[in-house]
Amino acid sequence: MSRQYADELFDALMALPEEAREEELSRRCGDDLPLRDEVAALLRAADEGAPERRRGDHLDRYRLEGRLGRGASGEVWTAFDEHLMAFTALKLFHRRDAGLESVLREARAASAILSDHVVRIRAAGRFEDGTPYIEMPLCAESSVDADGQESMKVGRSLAVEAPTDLPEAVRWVAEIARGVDAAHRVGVVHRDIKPANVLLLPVSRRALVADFGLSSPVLYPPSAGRAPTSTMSLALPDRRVVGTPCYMAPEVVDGLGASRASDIYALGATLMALVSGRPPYLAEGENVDATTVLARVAAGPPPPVPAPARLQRAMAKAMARRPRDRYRSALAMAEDLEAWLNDYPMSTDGGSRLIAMGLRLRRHRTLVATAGILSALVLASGAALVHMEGVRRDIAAEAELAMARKAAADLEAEAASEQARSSAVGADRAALGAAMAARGAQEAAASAEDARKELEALAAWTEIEVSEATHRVEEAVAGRIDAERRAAEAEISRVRADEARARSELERIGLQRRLDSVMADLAAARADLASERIAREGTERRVTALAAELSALQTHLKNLGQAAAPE
Amino acid sequence: MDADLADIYDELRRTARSLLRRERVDHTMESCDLVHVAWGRLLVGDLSETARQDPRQVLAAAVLHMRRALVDHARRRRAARRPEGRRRVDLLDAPGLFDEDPQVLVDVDRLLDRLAAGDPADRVRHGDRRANVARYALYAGLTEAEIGELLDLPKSTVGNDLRFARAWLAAHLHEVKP
Repeated sequence: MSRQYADELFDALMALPEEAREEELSRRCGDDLPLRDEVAALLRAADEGAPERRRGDHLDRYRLEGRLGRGASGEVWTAFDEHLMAFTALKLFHRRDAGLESVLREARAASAILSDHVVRIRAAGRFEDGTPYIEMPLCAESSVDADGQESMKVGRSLAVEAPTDLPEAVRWVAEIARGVDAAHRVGVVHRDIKPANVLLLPVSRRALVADFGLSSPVLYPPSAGRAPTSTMSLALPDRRVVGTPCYMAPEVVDGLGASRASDIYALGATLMALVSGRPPYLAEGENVDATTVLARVAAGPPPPVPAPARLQRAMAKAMARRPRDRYRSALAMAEDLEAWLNDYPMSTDGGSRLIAMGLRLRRHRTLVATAGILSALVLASGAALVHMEGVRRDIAAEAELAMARKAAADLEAEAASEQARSSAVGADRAALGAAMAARGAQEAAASAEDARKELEALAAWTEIEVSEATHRVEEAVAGRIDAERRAAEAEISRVRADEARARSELERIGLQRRLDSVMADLAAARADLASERIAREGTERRVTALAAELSALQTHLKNLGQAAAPE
Repeated sequence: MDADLADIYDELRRTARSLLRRERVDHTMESCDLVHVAWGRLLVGDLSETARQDPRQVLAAAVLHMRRALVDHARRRRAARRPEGRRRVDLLDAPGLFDEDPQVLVDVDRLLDRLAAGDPADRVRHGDRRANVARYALYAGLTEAEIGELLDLPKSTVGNDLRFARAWLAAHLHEVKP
């Protein structure tokens, strides 16, 4: 089909009688949905001479601020809630027929969902002029640019926002799976999970499920010619299906109603779309109609997309053909995806010990590397000591390494037997496949590939195990060096204590000696004193004797005198 | 609209019409208003001769000047008031828009720039021509027949272009700018 232009199509349709325009528009646009919406809006504007709504219009307590988007069912506006004094998002529906009551009922049920990953429905009803509306919080965040200018950014859907890497895509689906789980817990089935119905907060890049419980057939014009990525209500010969063909579970295509299991299927399909950049069942740049896609869904699973094997298995489980083979809840799926993101085992790993070991190593990789650097530092600082300890270290290291090598050899043996086992399985399958079909061969190849990947993981693991052992040896050496140093330090302090003791002993001896000499001096002094006393006593005795002699002499003299005097 | 601005606008329109009908252009500049000066500049010297030989060129330039003057004026005025109530206004009637809500005139002008630039996302094939036709109606108040004569287009094409421009403007007005 040659490229169509909105202005030329508009001119052509305006030349037709009014009642014929809608049909001709559908016919000419086919699956070119943006063009259809654009020209439909132009036709409405031409009829009314002015837009249906204008900025500044009041609807009850809301003042319209700007239109965010326009779709088949209605328009979404930012509005200012003059009661709450806050900005909000209003979805205004075009149609004013009674069928919308059921939508509003569902919206009321959906308003009970409490989840960080669901766009909450704050209010639903009709305005005075009969327009049905649903009020939601505005998914906007303010961001500050390089110049310090703050601006509000409004979130867009994952149909236009692409993930920056694989983990981000997986994180988004884990988040919306938690949102869907919250809905299932209050008995609400979304029925139309797909990237276009997931909003992304622009700054925190968190994903939110939008349009909950809104996928009601009354909103969507029946048309087999529309794109398989848009929501539609399709009348097939024996049944009617509602939803988005590319994301529709096989049982829904078969005419069974939507269920929690079909929501889980759609989560898997959404993951597939985000990982590969295009919806399931559509090849790159392929342009086919909805019925073709429905036939493909009915025929078998979509071709796998390039992704790590473990993620492939999660996708396959979510999108299993039979509902009972899928994840039992959206929460279980969210937990598996989170496990993948954080390198923990997933339910789809089938309890493989090898995978678990590989993951354990991957989780600790940073830790091991840090420990290695630390031990290197310790070794460098104690280089001299290491040299002295050289011989002993070598012996210890040798022993440790031998142990590590033995462990590695054991693991390699285990790997070899694993390989033998899986190649045996692969051979069996290949034989079976040769007999059956090309598909069997593919499966065998895939399983051989899986086995190879597991072996690779194992090889990486053994390598890391050896380096870990080396690291343990180094650590042990470092530990011994440390102990040695501590012992030497203790010895030094012991010697120091001895020295101190000796010193004090010496001091004591010196003092004793001085005391002794003082005592000797004292004794000598006392002896001197005693001899002095003796001498003094002798003198006194001599004095006394002399005194006695003197008095005797005096008496003698007196006697002599008396004798002379009377004569 | 301000009284003097309305007068000026009428005068510009009269001049435009007389140019188109090759009537004698003999204006005396009475006011020193910005728009008059712009107009005056057009009609002196060489341009005055051009006006006699090919009035279309002069008219195109005049429309440009009128547009600039009106939109500038609307920009200055837009903060001053907001519309009360809602009236149906023709989106290709500059004085009416200015009266109703100067901001809308500014928005319409910007949207016509976008239409003329032909953003691939808009999927409009003849945006350039349609925006040009719309500008003659919007700023010079010319009729379909007058625009057809001026641009050498069949009257039916001009009619289609104006109808499309009105619808397109109405459909895209009040969009949140990305």
